[in-house]
Amino acid sequence: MQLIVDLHLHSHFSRATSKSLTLEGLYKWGKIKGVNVIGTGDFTHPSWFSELRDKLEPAEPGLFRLKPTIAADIDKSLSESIKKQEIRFILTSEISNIYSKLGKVRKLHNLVIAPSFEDVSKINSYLERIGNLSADGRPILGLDSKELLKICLKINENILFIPAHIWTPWFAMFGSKSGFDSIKEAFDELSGEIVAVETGLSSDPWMNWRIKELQNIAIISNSDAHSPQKIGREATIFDCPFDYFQIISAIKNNDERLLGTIEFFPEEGKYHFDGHRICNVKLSADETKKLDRICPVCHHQLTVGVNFRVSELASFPVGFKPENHKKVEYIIPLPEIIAELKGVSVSTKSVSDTFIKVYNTLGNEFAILRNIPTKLISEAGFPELSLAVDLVRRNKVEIEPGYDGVYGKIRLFKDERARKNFGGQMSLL
Amino acid sequence: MNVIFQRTSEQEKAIKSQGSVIVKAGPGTGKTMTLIGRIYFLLNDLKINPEEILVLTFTQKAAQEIKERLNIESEKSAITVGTFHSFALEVLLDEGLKIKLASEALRQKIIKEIILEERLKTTARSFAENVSNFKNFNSNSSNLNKDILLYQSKLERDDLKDFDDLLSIFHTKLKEDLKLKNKLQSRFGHILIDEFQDTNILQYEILKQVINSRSHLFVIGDPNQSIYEFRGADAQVFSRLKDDYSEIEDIRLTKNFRSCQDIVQVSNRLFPKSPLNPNQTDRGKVMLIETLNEYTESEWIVNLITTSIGGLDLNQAVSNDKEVNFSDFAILYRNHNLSKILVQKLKESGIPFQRIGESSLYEKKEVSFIICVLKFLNHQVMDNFYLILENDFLNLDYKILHKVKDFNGKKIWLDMKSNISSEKGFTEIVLKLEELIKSFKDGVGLQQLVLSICDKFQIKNESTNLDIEQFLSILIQFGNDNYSIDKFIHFISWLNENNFYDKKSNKVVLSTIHSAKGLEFKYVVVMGFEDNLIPIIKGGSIKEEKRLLYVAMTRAKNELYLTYTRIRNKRKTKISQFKNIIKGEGIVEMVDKSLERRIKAKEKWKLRNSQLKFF
Ligand SMILES: [Zn+2]
Ligand SMILES: [Zn+2]
Repeated sequence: MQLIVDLHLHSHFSRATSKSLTLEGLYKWGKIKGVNVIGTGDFTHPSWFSELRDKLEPAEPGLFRLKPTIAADIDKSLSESIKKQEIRFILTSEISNIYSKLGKVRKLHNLVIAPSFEDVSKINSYLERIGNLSADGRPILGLDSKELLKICLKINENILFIPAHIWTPWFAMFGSKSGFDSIKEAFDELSGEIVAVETGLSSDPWMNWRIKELQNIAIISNSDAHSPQKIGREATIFDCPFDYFQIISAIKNNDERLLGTIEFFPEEGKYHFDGHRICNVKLSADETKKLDRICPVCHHQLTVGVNFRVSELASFPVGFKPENHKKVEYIIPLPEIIAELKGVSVSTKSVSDTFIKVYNTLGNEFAILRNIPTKLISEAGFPELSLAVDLVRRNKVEIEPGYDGVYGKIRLFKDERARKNFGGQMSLL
Repeated sequence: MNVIFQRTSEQEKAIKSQGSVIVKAGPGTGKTMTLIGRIYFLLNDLKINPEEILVLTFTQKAAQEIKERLNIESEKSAITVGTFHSFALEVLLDEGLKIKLASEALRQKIIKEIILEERLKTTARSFAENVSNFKNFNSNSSNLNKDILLYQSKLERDDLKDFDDLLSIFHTKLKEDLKLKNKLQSRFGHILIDEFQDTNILQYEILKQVINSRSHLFVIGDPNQSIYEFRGADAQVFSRLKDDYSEIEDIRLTKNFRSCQDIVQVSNRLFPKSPLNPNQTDRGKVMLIETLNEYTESEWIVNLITTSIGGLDLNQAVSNDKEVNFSDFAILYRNHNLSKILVQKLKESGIPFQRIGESSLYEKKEVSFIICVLKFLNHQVMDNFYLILENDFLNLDYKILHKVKDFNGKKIWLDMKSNISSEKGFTEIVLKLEELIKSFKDGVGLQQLVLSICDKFQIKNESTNLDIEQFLSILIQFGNDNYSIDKFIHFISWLNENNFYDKKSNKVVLSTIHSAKGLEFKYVVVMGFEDNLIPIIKGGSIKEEKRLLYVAMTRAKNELYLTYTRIRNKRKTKISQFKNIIKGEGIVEMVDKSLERRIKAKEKWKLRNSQLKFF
């Protein structure tokens, strides 16, 4: 059974998140998006945790489902095409560890995944002594990441600890600003307990495969969603039944049950390439190295991006693939594809109307983007969409990497002319 | 204190002094190290018999620390280390005197009862201070009033003594019993006193009784850090000693190892006659921050911590290649009320913090009651039973307590409960405890036990819920096995000994200035640098207030911030009069941005108004 799993997202108790990040919201959007197992996020937050205990009930081992009465209510509002899919919840939380080690302030975000409410209670009680859990769904602890890992291991060996979005400059294990240069540096003798890392939006498995320490451990992807519409924008694909322990052991063993990841194009990130926005200089890591990090226009230090950071720590060249590598599927979210086909902004009503029409007709977003034969999409009345999906599936997209705070652009069409030439009138959308 | 590899010549001189010596050790000058050095010198170099050495401290914790630092082995354990009180008690018991000490809880209870019965308009704390002052300054009988007599009669009723009685009994005994006096004088050839500035008159008089011309006295402390005058400490005790024993040598430790240069320079201005020299080469930072009100003050502090640590989320992120931890920060204030807004702002920010001293969770009435019951269940003896009865939470009729205590002789809980007549309120408690004992014996786990305590004594309600929840969550770490309660009780007594300061946890420290004495932090913020707070003008001694500020400022190692507001609690405030003393080089004045904005807006508005007038 193929499962799409998203372990990292947040509740409405986290800073800067959508009010609709409730269990109900997640359930509904899980069905629209086609995510099978959704992380609860924020289990350290006392109010969210009590909400979880109220509204969830145990399903398969280590997994939870929304109580049937609540679920039935939501299902009533959903179309047949997406209603049937089962949704499971898995207990997860992200913790912001801020501490000094080896003479520097370190800020790491770490993901913790637990199999039961009892384990969560135990984790929370430990952490309660260390920090203020009710301030934020993602609590700040002045605790060494390694100590957090120790606490998790001590409570239950089935608790999974994963360094989150490991390449973001400010809050990550390999972040250039306040991270470490190796897992070893961060976790010392417990390095072996790090069985997986999260790519985050700013990297893809290809970038991670260049790192020696990441050759054998699992590379997973999650959405880090701050609104329910964004769940599953990155995710991990498993081939296993609904079962916490199977998912965990697939990650721990990095075996064939872990099929691969669904990825954003990392070039879209604001700091993928290096450069200077004001000097209009955009450079790849190799070019930056040749220039010794100095801007050819203003002769000041360049703002270096994630890709440069990767190349700094890399032992292998660009494009290197370890023996035991997984599948990587790049996607562009369906609403964005629709918006581009229409030539309008993604936040317009016409886009969301079409999006609803599409999934009501064809099924959930992942099915459309990944599985449904393009022929069927076309036959259902969306010929342009079927062509666009085909482009995305074959990675035939225009990529313009971001740099120095400028978002990158991932587009189906180079320009307006290409768009117009593409599918005639777009009338059917 | 940082490790000092090399002793200064002053420290060396103090340690190796041949006669009696007064060591005035300013903040960060290596006081404890010098005291320990002296003891080692006596033992190792002068080969003094450890039996002859008496070390007196002011807290049990300090005594414990000295024992730990000495790494006392069997031979050296012949050194007597203790507080004035424990020393007095030990000697008196040795002499065959029977002394029953009232627990602090019972003493509080008696005081509260008198306040209630006599309808006194005073707080329990100031009543206690009055009693204490009266007993310590014995001679001045004008202070004697019927309330103190009432208090005394209530103690005597149960044949109890309080801590102050203990000292005066000891003092009287020494004066009357020449044999005892001679015995002590000839036994302790070397008497060392730590934190000498905390000595009160009675303690000083006791000291005078146990020394003679052959004694070697070594007192160490800092007259500028005497902040317990309200408890009877005598700031003049150094000069008193010098007056009484003119041959005593005076040594000052002047090298400050703790603080950066500007901090030493600025705090020196408070006591220009006893300046310290900084050992650090860094200048550090001293800043005076003016802000609008208590809200902007707290926001400023939160912002200071956030930016020093390099941002807590993406919006604030800045690079930081320094080593900074949450536990490097201490926010000090005159009294706990001042910290209310700050606590709120810190909670909102998510910055982990701990309040040390008297405002800890474990000091809350309900939680402390639960802990009492747990102690009793773990060890079912009368003393622990009294602790329950005396606890504030039950608010038990004092007469019931008497009945229980009247039941002398049989110290066993089981005997006692079958013999006490059915006293209203009391029987109920006994029955509840009976049930709890049963659960305990049946092996009910720690958390479950706490829940049934809450249940039986109706502890949980809306206002206590959060505390209880937090308490329960803390308990989980102690597990649910046979040893859980034991482990927990050990943890609590450890915290208690440490003034509820968990040094190992990486959190910002919030503390009153009094509770911060003896501690040090890289970054210190002293809040409310305003008249009526620092100093408290009404009723306070301005000298003591100055010493208090000195203690606060000298906690800082690298950076010191003094904040004051224009308005506090909707009233206009005035910057502390001490500003005039500390101002000058090395102190940077700054206006908080929020205040700047406000001033600009006001000026604009004024300008517009005045222009309007022309029309
Ligand atoms: Zn994060
Ligand atoms: Zn440039």
